[in-house]
Amino acid sequence: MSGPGQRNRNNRQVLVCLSSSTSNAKVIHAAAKIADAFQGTLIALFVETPAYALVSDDDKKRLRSNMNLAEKLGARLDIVNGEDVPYQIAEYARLSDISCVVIGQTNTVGGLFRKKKSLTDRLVAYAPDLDYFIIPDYGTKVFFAKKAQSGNNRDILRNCVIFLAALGLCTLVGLLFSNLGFTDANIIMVYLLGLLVVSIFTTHRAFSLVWAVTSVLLFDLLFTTPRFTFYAYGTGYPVTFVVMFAAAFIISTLAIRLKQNASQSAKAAQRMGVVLETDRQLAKAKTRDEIFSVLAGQLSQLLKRSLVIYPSDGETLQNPSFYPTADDTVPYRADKEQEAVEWAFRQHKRAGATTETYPQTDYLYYSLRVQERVYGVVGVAVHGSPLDASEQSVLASVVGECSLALENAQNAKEKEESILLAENERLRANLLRAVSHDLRTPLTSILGNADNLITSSDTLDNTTRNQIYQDIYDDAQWLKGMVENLLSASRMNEGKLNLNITTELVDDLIGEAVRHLGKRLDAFDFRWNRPDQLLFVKADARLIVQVVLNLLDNAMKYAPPGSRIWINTCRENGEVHVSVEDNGPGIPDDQKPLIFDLFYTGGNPTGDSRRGLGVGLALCQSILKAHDGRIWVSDRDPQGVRFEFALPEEEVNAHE
Amino acid sequence: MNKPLILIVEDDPPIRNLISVALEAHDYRHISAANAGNAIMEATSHNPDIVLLDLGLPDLDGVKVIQKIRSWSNMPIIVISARSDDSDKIEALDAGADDYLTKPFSVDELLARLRVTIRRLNQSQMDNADQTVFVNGPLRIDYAAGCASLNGEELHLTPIEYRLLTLLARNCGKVLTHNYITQQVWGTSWENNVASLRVFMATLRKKLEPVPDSPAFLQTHVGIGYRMVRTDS
Repeated sequence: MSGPGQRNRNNRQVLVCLSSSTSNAKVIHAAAKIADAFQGTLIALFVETPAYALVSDDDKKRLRSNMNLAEKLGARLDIVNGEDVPYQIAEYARLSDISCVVIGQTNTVGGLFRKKKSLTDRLVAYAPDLDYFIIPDYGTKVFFAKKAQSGNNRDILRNCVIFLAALGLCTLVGLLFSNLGFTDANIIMVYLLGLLVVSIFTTHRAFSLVWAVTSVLLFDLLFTTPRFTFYAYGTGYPVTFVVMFAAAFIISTLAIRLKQNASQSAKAAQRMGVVLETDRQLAKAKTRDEIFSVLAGQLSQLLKRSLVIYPSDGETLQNPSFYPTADDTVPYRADKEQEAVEWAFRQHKRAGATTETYPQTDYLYYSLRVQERVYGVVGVAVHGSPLDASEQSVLASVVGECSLALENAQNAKEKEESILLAENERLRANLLRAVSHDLRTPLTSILGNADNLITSSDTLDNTTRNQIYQDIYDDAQWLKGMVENLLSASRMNEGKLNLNITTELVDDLIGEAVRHLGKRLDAFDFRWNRPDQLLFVKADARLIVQVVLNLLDNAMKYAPPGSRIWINTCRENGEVHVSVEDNGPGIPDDQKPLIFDLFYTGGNPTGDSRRGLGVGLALCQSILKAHDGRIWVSDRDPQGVRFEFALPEEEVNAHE
Repeated sequence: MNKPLILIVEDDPPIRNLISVALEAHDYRHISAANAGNAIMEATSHNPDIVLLDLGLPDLDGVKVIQKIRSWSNMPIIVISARSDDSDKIEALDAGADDYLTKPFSVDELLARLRVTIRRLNQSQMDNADQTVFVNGPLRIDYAAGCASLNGEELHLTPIEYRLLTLLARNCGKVLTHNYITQQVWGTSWENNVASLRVFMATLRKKLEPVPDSPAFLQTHVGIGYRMVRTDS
C-alpha cells in the first residue's frame, strides 16, 4: 500500500518475497545475509492474491511468523495486492528501485489456467534486468495450492436452498418446453443458465460440479427417450453430457475467480477509502489532540477493534486514551501491557500480541514516529484473533500518515514559538541598544552632580545645592523606572511559556501600580473608579503592573502637574478593559500610529530627550500580545488622551 | 519602649552607609554586619529589636540566616532583595521573615516598614500572651466567641472569611504568602485555591475597609501575599 520512496542509488535494496511456506524462513535469512553483504536495505514483500483468503489458519500463522522474522532481521515490510504474483513483484521492484531479488525456488502447482512455468521463470521474464538469488526450496507447498474448506453451516444451507430452487425451476421450465415441443437444445440452454446462476450465487465450486452431474442426469432421466430411464438412444447425448460437464467446470472456475476478485477489490477500495479519508481529515486537524482523534476514528472504523493511544511529548509517554468498541468486554490491563508499550516506544517497532516481543499481551502496538521522533504509541486489541496481512498494511499506512501529520503539527508549533521568541529577542536587542546609548545621560548627570557636591560643596549656595540634590534624585528616579522596564523586557524574553501566569484581581494590580508611584501622584488630581464586581484576569502580575505603571508614568510625563488622571475598569464582551486617561495636551493624530514603536518619543516640546525613551509603550504592547490582549490609544473629549488595554476575563469560582 | 536597636546586615558598603545615615537621622540605634557569620554573632550578642537582612550575602544564603535566627528568636526580620523576581522573597517569608524591601528602595519606604514593625512590637508587648480578644483600631475580634466587629458593629463573615481574618490578625504586621495562607485555610495550595483566596480577600476587604482606595487594615502584595497592618488610631 505504501508507495515506494526515493532511494539513494548507492544503497542497494534487496527484496525478499514472503510466503507462508515453511522454508520461507530460510530464504529470509539468506536475504538478510545478502543485504548485509551489500550493506543494503532489506525489503520484505508479500503479494496478497485473491486466493489468500482461502488459505488455512496454519498457513496464515506461518506467514505471520515469517513477517516477524523479516522485521526482526531489519526488513521493511510491504504488502501489495494482485493476482499475478511475479508481475506484482516485478512492478514493485521497478517502482521501488530494487536491484536484487531473493526468492525461493518453488514448485508451482499450476492450475488449469496457469502457465506451467515456475514463478521464478515468469518473474525473470517480467523483469530480466534484476539480479536474482534463488534459494533451493524443496518439498514445500505454496499457499495457494492448499485451499481450506470455507463456509460455515449457514452458508451451506443457503447454498443448498439456492441450488435446489434453481434445479427445481429449471426442471419445471424444461418440462414446460418439452410439453410445448421445443427441441432438447433449448432445455440444455435452460440448465446451462441455471449453472451460471448457481455458480454466481453459491460460494463453493462443488455446487457447480454437482449441478453439472445432476442436470445431465435429470436431462437424461426426463427429456431423452426413453424417458424416465438413464438410458439414452441418441448417439449425440454422451457428447452433450461431456460438454455440459466441461462447461460447468469452466463457468464455475470463472465465476469463483470473478467473485474473489470482486471481493478483493471491494476490500482494497474500502482500505484505500479509509486511507484517503484519513488524509482528508488530517488536512483539517491542526492540533495534536485532533490528529489523535482522527487516528482513533479511522482505525476503529477500519478494524472494528478496541484501541488505546498513548500520546508522547517526545521524552515520556503520557496517560493513554481508550477507544473501546461496544462489544469489547475485556478490560484493558495497563500493568500487563506496560512493557510492550514501552518497548514499542523506545525501539520504534511493533510489539505486543502476534509479534515476537511481548506476545503475551492483548494488544498489538505501533509507534507513531517520523524517523527518530516518536509522537506516541497506538495499540490495537487482538484478543486472540490476529490482524490479517492487509489490515496490518493499511494500519501501517494510517499510522504513518498520522505520524507525519503529528510531525507537521509539531513543526508548526515550534515555528510559532520561534517567531515569538524572535520577536522578544528583537525587543531585547533594541532595548539593549537603547540602554547602552541613553543610560549615559542620566548617569553623567548623577556622577557630575555628586562630584560637584564632594569637591565644592562649600562654595555652592543653598539654592544651587538644592537644585543639584533634586537633579540627582530625578535622574535616579528615571533610571529606576528604566531598569524596571528592562527587567520586564528580560522576563518577556524568556518566552510566553515562562511567564508566571496566575489568576489576578485587576484591582490588586492597579493598586500595586498606584502604590508604587506613591507621592509622585500627589502632584495630580488622580481618580480611580473601581467597578462594583470583582474582575479577574489570568496574567503575569508583575508585567501587567508594569503596563499600568508605564501608562500612569506617561500621563504624568506629558500632562502638566495638576492635570486630572483617571483609571477606569470595566467588563466588556468577556474582556476586562482598563483605561488610563488624562486631560493634558493629548496626542496629535499623525503621531498616534507611531507611539507604540520602540524609541518613538513624540515631539517633546521640552526637548528633553530622555523624558521618554520610547520604550514604555512598546513594552506594553509586547506584554499585552503575550497575554492575548491588546492596547490602543484614542482622544479624550474635550481634551487629553486615553490609553486602554483589554485582557480576556477569567471566571473564578471561589470554593469554601 | 526606648530607641530600638536595629541590626543592618548588608555586604555592600554604600548601601550599609545609606541605611546607617537614614537610621541615625531618624533616631534609631544601629549596629551592622557585612556577612552572615557576623550577622548571627551580632544577633546573638546584642539581641537587636529588628534585623534588616540583605538576601545576597557573600558567605551564606540569607534564607539560611533567617532559619538560624528563627531557631532561637522571634525578632522581626525585614529582608532586602535585589532581585525583581518574587521567588526569593517568598522563600524568605516562608522561612520566617516578617517583611521585605526590594532594591532600589527609597528611604521613605524603609522608614515606613520600620514604623510598621515597631508598632507591632509595642503592641505585642502590651498584649497578654494568651489574649482572647484582638483589637486593631476600630476592628475587634473575639477569638473565644468567634466573632468580629468594626466600630462596635458586628461583621457578618462567612466561615472562610473569618478564618482568613483571624489568620491575618494573629500574624498582624507579617506578610503572609499565598502559599502559607491557602495551606492554613484550605490545607492545600492549588492554583484554584489561590484564585479563591483573591475572591475571599476582596469580599473581606469590602466588609472591612471604609475607603477602598487606601487600604487601612489589609495590604495586598501582588505576587507574594497579604498582610494586616496596625492602624494608628
